[in-house]
Amino acid sequence: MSQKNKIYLDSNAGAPLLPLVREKLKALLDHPSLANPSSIHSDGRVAKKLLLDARESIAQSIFKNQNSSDQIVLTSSGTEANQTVIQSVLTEAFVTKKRPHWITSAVEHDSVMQMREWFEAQGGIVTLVGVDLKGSVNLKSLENEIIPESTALVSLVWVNNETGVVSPVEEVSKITKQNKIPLHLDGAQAWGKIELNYNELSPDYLTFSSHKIGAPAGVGIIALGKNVKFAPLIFGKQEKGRRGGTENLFGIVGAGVAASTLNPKLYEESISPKREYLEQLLARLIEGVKINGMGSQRVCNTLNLSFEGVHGDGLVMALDLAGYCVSSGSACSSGALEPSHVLMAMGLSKKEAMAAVRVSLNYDISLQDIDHFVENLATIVNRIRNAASKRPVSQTEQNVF
Amino acid sequence: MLSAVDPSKVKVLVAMSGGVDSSVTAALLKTQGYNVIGVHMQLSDHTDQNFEEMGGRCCSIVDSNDARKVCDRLSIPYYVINAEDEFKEAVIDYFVHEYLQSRTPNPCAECNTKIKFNYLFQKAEELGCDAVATGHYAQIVYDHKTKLSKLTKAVDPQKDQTYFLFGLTESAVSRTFLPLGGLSKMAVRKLAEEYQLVNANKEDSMEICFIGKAGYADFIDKNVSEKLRPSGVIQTLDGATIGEHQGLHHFTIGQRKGLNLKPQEQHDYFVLGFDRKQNVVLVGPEEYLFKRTLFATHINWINPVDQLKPFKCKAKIRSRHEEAVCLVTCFENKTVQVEFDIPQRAITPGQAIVFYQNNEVLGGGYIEKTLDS
Repeated sequence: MSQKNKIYLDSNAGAPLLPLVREKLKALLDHPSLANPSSIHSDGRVAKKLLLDARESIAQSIFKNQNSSDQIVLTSSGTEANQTVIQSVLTEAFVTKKRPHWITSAVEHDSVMQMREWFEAQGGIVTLVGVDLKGSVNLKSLENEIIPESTALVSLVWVNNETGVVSPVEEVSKITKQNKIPLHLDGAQAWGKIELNYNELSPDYLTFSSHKIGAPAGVGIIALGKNVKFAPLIFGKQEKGRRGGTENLFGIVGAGVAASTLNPKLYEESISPKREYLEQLLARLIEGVKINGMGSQRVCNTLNLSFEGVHGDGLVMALDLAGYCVSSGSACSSGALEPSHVLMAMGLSKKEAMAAVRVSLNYDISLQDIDHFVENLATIVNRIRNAASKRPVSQTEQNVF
Repeated sequence: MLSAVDPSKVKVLVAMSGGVDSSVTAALLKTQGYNVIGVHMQLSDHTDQNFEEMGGRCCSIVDSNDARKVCDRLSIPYYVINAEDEFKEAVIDYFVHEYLQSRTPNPCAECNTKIKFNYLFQKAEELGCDAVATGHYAQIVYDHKTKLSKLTKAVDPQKDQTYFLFGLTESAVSRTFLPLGGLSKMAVRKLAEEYQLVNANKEDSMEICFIGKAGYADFIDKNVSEKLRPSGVIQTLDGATIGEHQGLHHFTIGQRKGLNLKPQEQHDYFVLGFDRKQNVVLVGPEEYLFKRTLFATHINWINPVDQLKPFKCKAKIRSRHEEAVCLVTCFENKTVQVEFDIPQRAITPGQAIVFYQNNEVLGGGYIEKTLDS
């Protein structure tokens, strides 16, 4: 097996730093006078200008209108962005509603899932809307779960980080508008990958994360709808009082540069044929492979695979040794080694879910890389299947105590 | 035979606990030019752990981080493999079950056989590795005549761990490196310092890794319904009740402490056995503890032995036992009868019996019962 260059196939965990971002940040490191953007002096003003420019660029990529930069709250991460929205809306709901109710889905990112415990401990009710076998959110049940006087928020992942399945956000947006319920979309994996028609959807809260678009990790974004309620999680004067703490200038500048380069159409045109090629090769060369989320609308770069009789983690390690970076489940839950809740919600067995790996492509992958990848993958999958079938059983093991 | 091959072509998976022994193992193999991969087996869930309480213990998150640092230092890949389910089933459940049968289990031997070697070998094959290495103090010798690999004792008799390794097969032994077998613990620590490993001065793990400070009986009390471990009485062999007990699992054969007898009786009584039907601990004078003959099951021979005729060797019936001369007669179903030349004190069902011929480990199994009347 070739072990020359690393091939990075884990963009959904963190996209590779964009060359332009790297260049700008290197220049920024050498900047003679970087200061706290809140300072009055000239160095502070320089920092402030960088901050404002980056904010406008981010706003432009989301709202297609840079004058909307006041509608953006910058946080430390996508997790903070999600949890700020959820806490903000649901805390307020305890004042206005008797027994507030939150609808979210069974395939959310952990940062959203983790808020269930908090909300239920406060006395709130959570409904997890299920998905079908292809990973698509069940719209009917979402609509049916709405309790007019109690439902305070609908939170939904726009593009699933593990499967790439795109949620029917237009329909969901219609439903929430009809019922006058605030809508929170987690757009972390949608940003840059699909066209965000903000004005058509106009979600009340939309969240993003910088390291998914080729900027450094450390910046989360909340895009606020017009006239929505918002309460900070961290108090302070920054971000117009909506998020305290000195701004992460490097991260935000990086996010601004990356946001300015986003081109979903080009992304789709460039990567979609590569994934198609990869899928065809897999089907041809490896037996017992299943594409999770197949048949649903998926973003073009994500491929979630289960190989019969293969443990995902062993596969990730073996691929790493062969020079390929992929994930099993989502990066956050690795180490805990629970089967992916997303795949379990799609009806996979624990075994099938544990067998899953996620391949997420980026611009830089070539067809030749894909050829080599599938070649190596086939060898490794066969090896793992052989190892499992001829596990060296000691004599003592054959007996049960 | 692995040692005849160009090291750089041999991919070795090193089981790394985070302790000094396995770290030096990795360092030694790396220096010898092998293609080394470090793997830490996570055997229990870290999320519920009290950090203070568990820090420094085997399998804790601290250990995993230490192993990671060592692998970074050696520039080798490092992975954490989750073996919680396997460990629970093969080791913890076995351990509890044995105590509830009034037997005294050997979880470390079970863990070595099923987790540290069997499961690890499966992972090694998955990763395309040719061999496995651990920091056990034992040696592997290749016999050119028979073309078989033998497991032999470590040079440092104080550190020898072969008693816990009797469950290995020849096929496993022939693909295993045990580079510490020829070293003393002091030399290993010295090497760790020379290699500048973070854990050079880390304390050795002593107790059973999943048992906290409160002890094994407490572990069983916490994990098993009271109905399965009822309290009862302590009786002498002639049926006189002389005390009470809080469950048979608190006792092991040969035990004298913790019987809580009336003060004047204490001196004379040792645990001799159990009457499980009546839920009674049987006690008596020490001389009754000495037995000559036992019956053992689940026997594994590392290299084939001639099972058609009885043979003489030495046997060890617990980790701190001085091995004694015996005659072994093999039966079907991996069972043996063992007759010691001299009666042995406190032969305990559930404990491992391991057979030696000079320094070589022939194999071993678990003591089922004594056969003397």
